Amino acid sequence: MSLPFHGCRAAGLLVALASLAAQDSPLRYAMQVELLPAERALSGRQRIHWTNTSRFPVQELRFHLYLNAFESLETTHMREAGEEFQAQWRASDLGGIQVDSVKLDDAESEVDLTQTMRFERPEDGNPDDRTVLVVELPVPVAPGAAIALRTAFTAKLPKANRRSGWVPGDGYYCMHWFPKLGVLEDRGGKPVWNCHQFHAHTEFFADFASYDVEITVPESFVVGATGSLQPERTRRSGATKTLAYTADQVHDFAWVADPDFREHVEVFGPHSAADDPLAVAVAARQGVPVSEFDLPRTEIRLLLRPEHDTDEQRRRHIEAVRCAMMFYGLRFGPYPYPSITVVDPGRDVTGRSLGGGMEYPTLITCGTKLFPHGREMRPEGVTVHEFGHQYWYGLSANNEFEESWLDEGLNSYAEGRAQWLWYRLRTFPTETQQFGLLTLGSVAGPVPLAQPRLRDSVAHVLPVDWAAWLREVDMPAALAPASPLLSLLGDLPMATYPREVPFDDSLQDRRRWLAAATSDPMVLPGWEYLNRASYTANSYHRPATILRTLERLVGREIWWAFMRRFHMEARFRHPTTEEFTRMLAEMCGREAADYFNGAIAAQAVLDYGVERVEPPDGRGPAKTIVVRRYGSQPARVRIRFKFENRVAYRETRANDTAATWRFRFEDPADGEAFGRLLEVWVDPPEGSPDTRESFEQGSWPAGVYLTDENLLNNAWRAEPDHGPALLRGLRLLLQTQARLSFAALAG
Amino acid sequence: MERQQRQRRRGAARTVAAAVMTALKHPRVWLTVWLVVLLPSLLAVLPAVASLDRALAPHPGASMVVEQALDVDFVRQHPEVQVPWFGAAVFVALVLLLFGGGVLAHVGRGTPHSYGTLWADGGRLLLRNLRALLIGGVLAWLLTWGCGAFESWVLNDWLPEADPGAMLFGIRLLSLEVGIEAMRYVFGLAFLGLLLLTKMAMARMALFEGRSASLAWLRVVLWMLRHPLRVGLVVASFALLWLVVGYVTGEITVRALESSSMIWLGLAAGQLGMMALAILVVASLVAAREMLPQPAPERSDPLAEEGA
Repeated sequence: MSLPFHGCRAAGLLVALASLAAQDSPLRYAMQVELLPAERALSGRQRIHWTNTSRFPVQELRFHLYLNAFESLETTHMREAGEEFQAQWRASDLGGIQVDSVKLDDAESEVDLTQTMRFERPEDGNPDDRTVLVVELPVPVAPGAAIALRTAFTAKLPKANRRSGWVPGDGYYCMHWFPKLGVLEDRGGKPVWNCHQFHAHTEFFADFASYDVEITVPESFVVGATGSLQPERTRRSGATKTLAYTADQVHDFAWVADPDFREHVEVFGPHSAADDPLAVAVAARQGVPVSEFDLPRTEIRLLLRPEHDTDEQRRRHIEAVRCAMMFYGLRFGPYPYPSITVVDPGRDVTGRSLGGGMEYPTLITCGTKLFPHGREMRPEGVTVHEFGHQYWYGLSANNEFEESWLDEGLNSYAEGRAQWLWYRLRTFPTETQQFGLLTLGSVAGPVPLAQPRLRDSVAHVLPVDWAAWLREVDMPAALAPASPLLSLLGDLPMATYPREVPFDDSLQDRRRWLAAATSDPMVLPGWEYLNRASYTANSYHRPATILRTLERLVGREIWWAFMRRFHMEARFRHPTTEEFTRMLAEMCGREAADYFNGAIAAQAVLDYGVERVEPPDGRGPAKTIVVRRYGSQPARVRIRFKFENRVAYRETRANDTAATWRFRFEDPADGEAFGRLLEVWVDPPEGSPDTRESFEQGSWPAGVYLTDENLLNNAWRAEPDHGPALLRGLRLLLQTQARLSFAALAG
Repeated sequence: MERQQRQRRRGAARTVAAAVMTALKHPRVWLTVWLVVLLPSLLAVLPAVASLDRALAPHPGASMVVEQALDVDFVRQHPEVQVPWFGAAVFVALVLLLFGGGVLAHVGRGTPHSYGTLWADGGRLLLRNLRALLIGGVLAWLLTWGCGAFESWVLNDWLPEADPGAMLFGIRLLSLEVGIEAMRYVFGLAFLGLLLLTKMAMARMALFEGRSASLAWLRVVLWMLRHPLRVGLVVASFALLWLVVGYVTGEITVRALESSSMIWLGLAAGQLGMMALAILVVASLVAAREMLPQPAPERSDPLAEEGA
C-alpha cells in the first residue's frame, strides 16, 4: 500500500522494530485456546519460552492465575472488594482457572512438573486465595539460559463483573485468562519474582513478550484480540473456526468473542506533526526534525453491541480514538502498533457495563449507553482514557500493583488535556444529569451544597434508641420506590439546576481528590491504601492534579519536552517514580522536583491565602497585606495586588518555609499614589476568565497551583460582590420550593 | 344523580382540566399553598445564602456560573451549611393536610364558605385525614417494598442472564433495557396513584362525613379497582403537567439566572412556576374529590348540616 513519505518512514521503522523484537524476545507465549460456550469455559494449552535475563540462577517460576480471584467469595480480591461487591455474585457466576499439567519441554524429553505446583499468598497468607502459582524447576536456570514449559489448563469463566468472563447474551471477555509469568526483579542483589496476589484495588504487571495465539470459537462469533490476525492461518472445521493472532512487544494478550458484535473499520493517519506548533517547538528544543514526530497509519477496528450500532455512536467512538491518537501521538510519541481494537463491552440486564472500560495491548473496552447526550463526554471520556493506556501501561509498562499513578495518574492527566484540546471549542461539553435512561443535557445537578440526609435530619431530635434505628433505615427509600419519574418530579431539574456548567477534567480531578480526604502518600502498593477511595484518589485524581500544576509551573514547551522524553525512554520498559523524579529535576529544574516530592508526601497540604488587609477598606496612604501559608507545603507563589492606579506583583520563594508574609505599600511622596487597594489575589489566573477557552491557559480560578486545597481564601476585594451568592440562593430557593411542592402533594 | 353521572362520564383529561380550572378560580387557595411552601423554603435557604455570601462576595473568581472549584471548596470548608429541606417538607405536608381538608370540603363544590371556613373545616377533618395519611404511609411502605421485591426478582431471578440490548423487531425503544426503565416509571406512577387515592379517601370522609379512614380507604380502593385506567390517566396527566411547568419555568428562569442583570426576572419567572405547581397541588385535591361518586343532593353539604 502506498503511504505518504512521513507515515511510511515511521511505519517501516516500527515494523522492523517489531520483527526484531519477536526474534529476540526473552519471553514468548504460543497458545491454543478453545472457547466452549455451552460450559462458558476455555480449554487451553501454552508453550512458554523464557530466558533468564537476570544476573542470578532461578530455581522457581511464579505465575499469575488472575481468574482464580473469582473462584469463591473468600479470595483476597473478593474479601477486599467488600460485602456489597460480594452480594453481586451468585454461585453460578463464579469461575476460575485450573492448571492441569506443567511440563519442562526439553529438546530431548519432557519433565513433568505438575507435582511441584503450589500456591503462594505473599501479601496476606489467605489460604483461599490461589492467584499466585509457583512451579519448582528441577535445576536452576542459569543467567542467560532459556527454558520452555508446556502447560495445559481449563478455565471456567466467571460472570464479567471485573473485566473477565461472560456477559448476558453470548459474549465472552477473555482477559487474564491464561497462566502468566510474573516479573523477575533484582532486589537488593537477590532475584525476586514480582508476582502479587490479585487484589481488589490493583491492576497488573508483566514483562514484554511476543504472543502467538490460536483461538477456536463457534463459526458465528466475531472475535477481537490483541495483535494482528493472520488470515492465512485461519482454519474452519464444521461449526467452529480457528483464528491466529500474533503480537510482539506487548505484555498481555486479551480477546473478546460475541456473535452479536457489529464490526466497523476505519483508519487514522498518517499525520504530519508539522501542523502542530507545540510539536514543532518541542522538536526544536530536542534538536530533532519535526518529521520524527509524524504519526503513522493505524487501523481502528470498532466492535459495537447491536443496540449501540448507530451512525452517531460509530462517529463518536471513532472520533474519540482519533482525538486520542492525535494527542498522545504528538505529545508522547507515535503509536507503534498497526491497529487498535475498540470494544463496546457487554452489560447486565440493568444496563450496567460489565467489565467496564479497560485497557489491554492493542485492545480496549470502553462503554457507552443507549441514548448518549450530545454534550456529555460519554463514550468519549472512557474511550480517550482507555486508548491513552496504550501509552501509560501498554508501552510504558509500570508496576501497576505498586505504583499505579504512573499509568492511571499520567493517563488521567493526558486524557483531560486531550479532551480539552479536541472537544472544548467545538462541542463545549457540559455537566449532565442522569435520570434513569434520560440524560438531561446542560444540567449540572443541585447547587453543590451538602445535602442533609433525611434520616439524620430526624434522628437528632429523637431519643437515642430511635436515632440509632433511623440511621439503619433509609426513609425516603422505604416510603417511595426508586423511580426516575419521582426524581424528576421532586427535583424539577430543568427549572432548578444550574445550566451550562462546563465539563472540566481538571476541576473534576481536583474535586474527587479532595473529596477522598486521603492522608496516604500518593505512591503505595495498591492494597496498602486506607480504602478504595484513597486508592482511586491517589492513583488517578491527585497525580492528575499535580501534573497539571507542574505543567503550569514549568511552562508548556519544557514540560512537553520532558513528558515526551520520559515516555520514549520508558517505552518497552518498567519505569519507576524514582526515574520520573530524577528526569523531572534534570529537565524541569529543582523547583519542579521539590514541588512534586512535596505534593506526593503523606498528609501534604498546599494552601496559601490572604489573612487580612489593613486598613480593611483598602484606603489610606499605606496598606499592609498579610498573606499566610496554611498548609505544610511551601511553594513559590505569585500574588497580585490591584490598586486604583496600578497593579503590583510579589512572590514568595519556593524554599521559604515562613508562615506569614507582610506586604506593605506606601504611596511615594513624589510619585503617583497607589490609590485604593481593590483586590488581592494569591496565585491569580493568568489572564481574564475569557482565556479559559485557551487550551494551554488552563482552568480558572487558580494560576498555577490546582493543588491548593482551599481556593476560597486566596483572594480579597474591597467591594464585595453579592451577585454570586444571590444567584446561588435563588437556585437553592427554587430547588427547595420544588421539593416542598412535591411534599405538598402528600398533604 | 345527574352530577354523579356527569362525573362518571367525564374522561380523565377533562377531569384534570376541570380541576385545574376550579383551582385557578380560587386564587386565595393556591396563593396560600404557594406561601406555605415559600415561607419555610426561605427560612431553610437564607442561612445557607448568608454563608455563601460571606465566602464568595470577597472573591473575584466567584462568577455567575457555578464554579466547580470555589463551590466545591465551599462545601468542603463549610459542611455545616445545609438546607434542612426535610424538616420543611414535613411542616409543609402537615400544614397542607390541615388546609387540604377545607379545600376538599368546599373548593369547587358551590358550598358557601369563607377563607376562615377552609381552615376551620380543615381543622375539623384533620384527625381523620391524618389517619387516612397514616394508612397511605403504610400502603406506600408496602408498595415500595413490593416494587423493590418485584424488581429484584426480575433482575436477579427472572432475567439475570438476559441481554439488556435484546430488541423487539430490531427497535431500540423496544429493548429489554428500555422495558426495565419503563417498569421503574410505572413504579413512580403507582406511587403517585397512591397519593391520589389517599386524597380520595380524605375526600370521601369529607363528602360523606365518614369517620372511619379504613372504610374510606376500602371504598376508594374498591372504586379504583373498577377504574384503574382512569386513575392511571389522571395521575399521568398531573405528572405530565408538573413536568411541563418545570420545563417552561426552566426555559425562562434558568436562562435569566445566567445574567446578573436579569436575576430578578429569573426570580419572578421561578415564582410563577412555583405558583403553577401550587395550582396543580390544589387541582389534585379537587380532582381526587370529583372522581368519587358524589353523595345524594340532600347530603351534599354535610358540613352545613353539622353546623346546624
